[in-house]
Amino acid sequence: MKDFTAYLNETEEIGFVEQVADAIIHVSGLPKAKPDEIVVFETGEFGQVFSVQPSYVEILVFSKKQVKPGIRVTRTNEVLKVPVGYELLGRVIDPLGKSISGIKPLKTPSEKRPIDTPAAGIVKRRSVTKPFETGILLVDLAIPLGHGQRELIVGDRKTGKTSFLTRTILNQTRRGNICVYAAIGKKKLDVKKIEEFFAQNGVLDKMVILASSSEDSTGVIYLTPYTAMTISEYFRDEGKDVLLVLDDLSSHARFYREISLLGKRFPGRNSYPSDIFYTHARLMERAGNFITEKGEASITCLTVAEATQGDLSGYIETNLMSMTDGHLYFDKDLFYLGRRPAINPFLSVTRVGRQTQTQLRRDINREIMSFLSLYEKMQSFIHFGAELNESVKATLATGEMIIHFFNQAINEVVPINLQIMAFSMLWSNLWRGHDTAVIRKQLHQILEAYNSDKKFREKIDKLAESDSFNKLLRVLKVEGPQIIKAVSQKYGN
Amino acid sequence: MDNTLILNDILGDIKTVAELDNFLAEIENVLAGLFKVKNKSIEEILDKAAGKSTAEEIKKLIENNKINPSDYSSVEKLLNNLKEALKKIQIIKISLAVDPSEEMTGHIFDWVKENMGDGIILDIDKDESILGGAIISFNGTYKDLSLRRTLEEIFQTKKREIMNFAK
Repeated sequence: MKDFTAYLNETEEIGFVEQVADAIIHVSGLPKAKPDEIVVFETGEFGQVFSVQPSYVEILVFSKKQVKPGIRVTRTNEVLKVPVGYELLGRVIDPLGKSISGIKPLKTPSEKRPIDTPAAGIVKRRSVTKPFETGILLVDLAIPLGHGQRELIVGDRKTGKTSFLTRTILNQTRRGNICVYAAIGKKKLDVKKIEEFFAQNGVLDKMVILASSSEDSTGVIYLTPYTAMTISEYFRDEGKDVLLVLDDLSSHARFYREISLLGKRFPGRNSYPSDIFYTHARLMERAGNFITEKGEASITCLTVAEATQGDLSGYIETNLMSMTDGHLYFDKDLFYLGRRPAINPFLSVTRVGRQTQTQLRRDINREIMSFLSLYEKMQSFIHFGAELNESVKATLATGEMIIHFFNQAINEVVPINLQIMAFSMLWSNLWRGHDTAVIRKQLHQILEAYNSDKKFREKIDKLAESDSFNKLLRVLKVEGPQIIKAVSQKYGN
Repeated sequence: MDNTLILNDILGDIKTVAELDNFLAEIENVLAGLFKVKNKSIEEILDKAAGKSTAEEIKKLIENNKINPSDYSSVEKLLNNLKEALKKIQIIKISLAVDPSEEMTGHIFDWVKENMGDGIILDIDKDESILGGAIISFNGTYKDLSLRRTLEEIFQTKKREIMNFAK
């Protein structure tokens, strides 16, 4: 960017700061100011035209430093652009594209893109057909996602949402996809922990972490998800599948509410401005599955929203639910019962995930959901204290086993083929009579074998290509015990 | 308040922002003095609170609006309206390399009045760094007609020639 004097001489327009209200500044003059245009103050700060009124221009300032009344302002004839490129991988940057971590300086990418662009039209879009693996058993088997899907991650605070996201990012980066993680108004310590986690797991070079902390100016926090989406679009145009995590849009809504109230916008429901839906919808619409010059590529968007007291009918939560392709609900009651992840499969929805599944996975999905539904109903019998017959007891025991099966350790990521095999072995009663500790141990051994033994992995992958669930179960009646035995012998201790 | 002619007269005497501020300060003094018990008549108030020319203008205004000079509420309302009208005056900011004399200020003001119309006053400040010429801004438009800018442009466009000349 050029300096104030250069822009002043170029545009030959001047304004003067009349009123300062934290992030919103009223400027007189600047007769040809356009909405979203960048303006520069003579002190070096810059901002964006928020709105144009008859007697003044409203500027959203991007600096925490106080701007004083009387200071001169000039237009730039430019919109806000951020640098995008492969140089950003492995870095933590702010929403304006500057590096905020790392010892070596960031080599600024040469290409710059505007942060607020219209979403691609229908011609460039493709249906969601490729399955998206999170590495979480419950999600991949029961509530499947697809590449290009927008999925809302909603739940109370401290219910394991971030843990789910970090595992998903781990899985996706290990598969060669690019991940962009946007931390919106988070504590610096939390961002640092996330950076260290991914660095320790060796995947930071496949990620961009975009962070705005709670002490940054409201204008900069507001920009965060838009910058993250712009960076994702760059990698999508390079032919890469991108995972974009927006953590979280409910706090983004609060910051936008603050900006709007300072700008004297009429408060609507819960004092949110009337364009809060548009603010998020125009962002979410930029994700999806597209055809680019370099082939088919997608932006899968996992948006986080924090609910209060389990209330899914909140304003922002319902807004986000209507603009996404489903939601995963993190239930605090399940969390307190020790379920990890605490996803409630009955209150979670996936609108486009099932069309990406093979016949085998659809069969498994149907079995799981119908069984879990039956299990939930059976639970109510226990409360009555009635005597249970053998079939009910068997169902309850199987249900408990499946619930334990879906519990995953905090950093455990399970590939989809192994998920299919493990569930199928469980469903075939190969572990009948064993307690859950033994089953968990053997599952760990199978996972270890899958990750380390190429032949074993190929065998599992081949079995997972079966046409149907029943066929796979028939095969596992023979192969299953052999697999368990071989793994126990090799990895038993 | 339909006092266009009177307002034009007032504006004819006020050329700069400093003069306007002075005039407004005197109106404030008059307003403050209006309801003080010890003041007996409007003439007394105007004598104490305002300069001669300001007092004359205010008397003309009161006469023109057919207000009873002892009806202080109406006088207050009139003066407040005058203040509001004066706030709408447009200001043209000019930066010069020198402190302008009164004659120079008068010339500039006359030119502005003739070419841009009434209702505009000058805000002139001194900035030696511009070397000469002027920097003008009005209604958000900015024009740098200074000698400094001209020299900068010359140095940029004719850099090579100047360097050769210097050798």
